[in-house]
Amino acid sequence: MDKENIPEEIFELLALKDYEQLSVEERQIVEESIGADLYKDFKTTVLEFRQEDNLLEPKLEEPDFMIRKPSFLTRVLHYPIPAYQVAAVFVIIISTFLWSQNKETKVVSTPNNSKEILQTGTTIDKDYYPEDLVFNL
Amino acid sequence: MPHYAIKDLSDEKLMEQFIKERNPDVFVQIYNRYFVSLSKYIGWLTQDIEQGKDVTQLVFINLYNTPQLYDPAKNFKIWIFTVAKNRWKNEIRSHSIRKKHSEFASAFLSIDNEEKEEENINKLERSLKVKEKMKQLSDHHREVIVLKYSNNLTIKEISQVLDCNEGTVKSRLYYALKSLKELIL
Repeated sequence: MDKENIPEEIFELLALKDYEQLSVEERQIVEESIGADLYKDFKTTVLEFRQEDNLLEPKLEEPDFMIRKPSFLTRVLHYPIPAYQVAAVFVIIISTFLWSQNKETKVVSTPNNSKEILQTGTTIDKDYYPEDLVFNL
Repeated sequence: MPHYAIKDLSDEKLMEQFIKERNPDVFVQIYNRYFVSLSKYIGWLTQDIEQGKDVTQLVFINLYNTPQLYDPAKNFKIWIFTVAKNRWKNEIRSHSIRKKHSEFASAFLSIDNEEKEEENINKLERSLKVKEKMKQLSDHHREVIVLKYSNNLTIKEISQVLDCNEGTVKSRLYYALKSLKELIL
């Protein structure tokens, strides 16, 4: 058979099926064009090539030519900050807050808020007794 | 445009969309569909997968910047394969492609580094054998085998990429397989 007139189906089948997997009609097409032996040899050749081709699978690379430059705001928001710096700032804020709280407490404690403490067992000199506490028996 | 709709669009529709809107998501779809197959196609022609990737990147950079070069009335698959091949030829003429033939062989080693050493050696030997035999084929024969059995193009599509009739493609494919069979088996 003229090689230019080989049915296209033969080349498709070579990519898909072993000779044993061909249907009766497909085997007939093979027999009439290239023959069973050559089909089997071609099939092995295609298989060898494909195994090699699969090993060459190049990694899909990021299309870096499409990456747009981020805006200033995006860059600021995504600026990497080390964890220890964040922790340090947090500690400073907490310390400042606690210190200021402590300072405010001292200012707020006015005499109105203070409790009178009754002291017992303290001797008072006779001359200093309050007049209304002096009873004439 | 929702993401699922982009995935479902044909290459030609995607390109039409990209020419109109310049939406990068649309372009990424096209890029993802063709990066690997074009890299392998040019990689086999040059015997250097890294060159294949370089040329493919250049093709996509050009297409991204000047998408109007593509006529959506044309079959995109055939057009992009033709453009990639022409680009490769131009790069050879201008000698701007990197010459890194050793990387082709090293690619096989890196792929299998987790497997047993003996298995690795066998695989490497076999793959180097096929690679060497492919090298011995003429450019025409190597190209039809790659387009048919790596890129899965139809005989008609191959004839359009190579700008010849379908009979010539079938004849080349027959003799290419015959030569490779004699070299490998």
